[in-house]
Amino acid sequence: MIHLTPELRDALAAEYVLGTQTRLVRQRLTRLIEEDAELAELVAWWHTELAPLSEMIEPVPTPPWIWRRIENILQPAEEEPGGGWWSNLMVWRWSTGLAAALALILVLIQPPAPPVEVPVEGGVVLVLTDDASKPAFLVSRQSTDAPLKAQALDLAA
Amino acid sequence: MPSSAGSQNTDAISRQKVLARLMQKTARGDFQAFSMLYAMTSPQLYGVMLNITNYAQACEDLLQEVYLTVWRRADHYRPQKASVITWLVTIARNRTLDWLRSQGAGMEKMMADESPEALDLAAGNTNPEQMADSASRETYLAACLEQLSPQQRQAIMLAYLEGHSHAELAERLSSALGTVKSWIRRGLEKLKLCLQRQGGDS
Repeated sequence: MIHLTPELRDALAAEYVLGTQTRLVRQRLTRLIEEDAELAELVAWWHTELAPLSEMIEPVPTPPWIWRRIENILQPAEEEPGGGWWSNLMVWRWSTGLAAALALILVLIQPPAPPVEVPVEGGVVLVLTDDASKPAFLVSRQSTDAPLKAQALDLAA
Repeated sequence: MPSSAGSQNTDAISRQKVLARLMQKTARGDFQAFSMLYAMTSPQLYGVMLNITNYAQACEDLLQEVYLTVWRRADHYRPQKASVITWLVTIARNRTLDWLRSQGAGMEKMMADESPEALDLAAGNTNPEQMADSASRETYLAACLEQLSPQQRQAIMLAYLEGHSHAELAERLSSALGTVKSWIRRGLEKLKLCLQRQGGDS
C-alpha cells in the first residue's frame, strides 16, 4: 500500500479529476482508488464540485447513427423495419420543418398506454409517469435548436 | 412572480428528477427509459467529449461505449451520492481522458473503464439537498474561480474543459512545466478552501 500524505492525496485526487496526469499516473490512480475509499471520496468531491464547468460547454446534437448502433447492440432482435419509435423521434431531432408541427406523447409506463395526441405550440411533448401511472413530468422541446425542458406536473405524487 | 433565476432553478430541479427517474427505470431494464435518458443527456456528453478531443469519429465511438456502460451499470448509480448528469459526465470524461492519454502512448491498450470504482468516482459526498442545489454550486464555483490568479484560473479551466495534460498546458501557455504544475496545484488548493467555505463543508 502506498503511503500518501493528506496534501499529496488531495492534490492527486484533484489532478485526476482535472485530467492533467499522464497515462501511467492515471492508470495507477484508477487502481489505487479501487483500494482506497478515502481517496475515492476525495475524487468524488472534486468531480461534484467541478461538474458545473461542464455546463459551460454547449451541447452538440449527436449523429443519429450512434443511437442506432447502441440499439442494434442491445436490442437487435426487437428492431422494427422502420426503426421503431426512436426513429420517429429522430425525425423531430433532425428535421427543421416537421418538428414544429409535431405533437407526440410517449408514456413511459408498463404496460404502455396508447399514444395520445394533444395540441401543443410546436415542438414535442413527452409525458413521464410515476409508478402509479400518474403523469409526473412533462418533457418538451420547442424547436430543434432548443434544449429539452422538463417540468414537474405533480411533485408531491 | 418568480424570478428568472428561480424559474431556471426549478427547471433544473425538475430535469434532475426526470433524469433520476429515467435512470431508476433504466436500472430495471426499461429500454424506453434508457432511450429517453440518451435523448436528454447525450448532446451534453457529446459536447464535453468533443471539447476534449475534437475528433468526432473517436467521440462517436466513445459516446457509444459510454452509453453501453450506462445501460449495463445503471444499477450502480446511487441518487443519494451524485446527480445523474454528474455521474454521466464523470463516466464520459474518464473514458475520453483515458482514450486521449492512450493516443500519446502508442498502441498499448488502455484498461477498460467499466470497473465499479471508475463508475463510483462520482459517488460519496452528495445528498438529495445538495443534488437540488446545483445552481448554488455553480455560483460558488464561479465565485471561487474568481479568487484565483488569472494564470491559475486559466490553467485549471483549460485543463478541465479541454483535457490538456500538464505538458500540453505548458506548451499551450508558453510557460515552463514546473510553473504550470505549480499554478494548478496552488490554484486547486485555494479553490478547495474557498469551495469548502462557501458550501459550509468542513
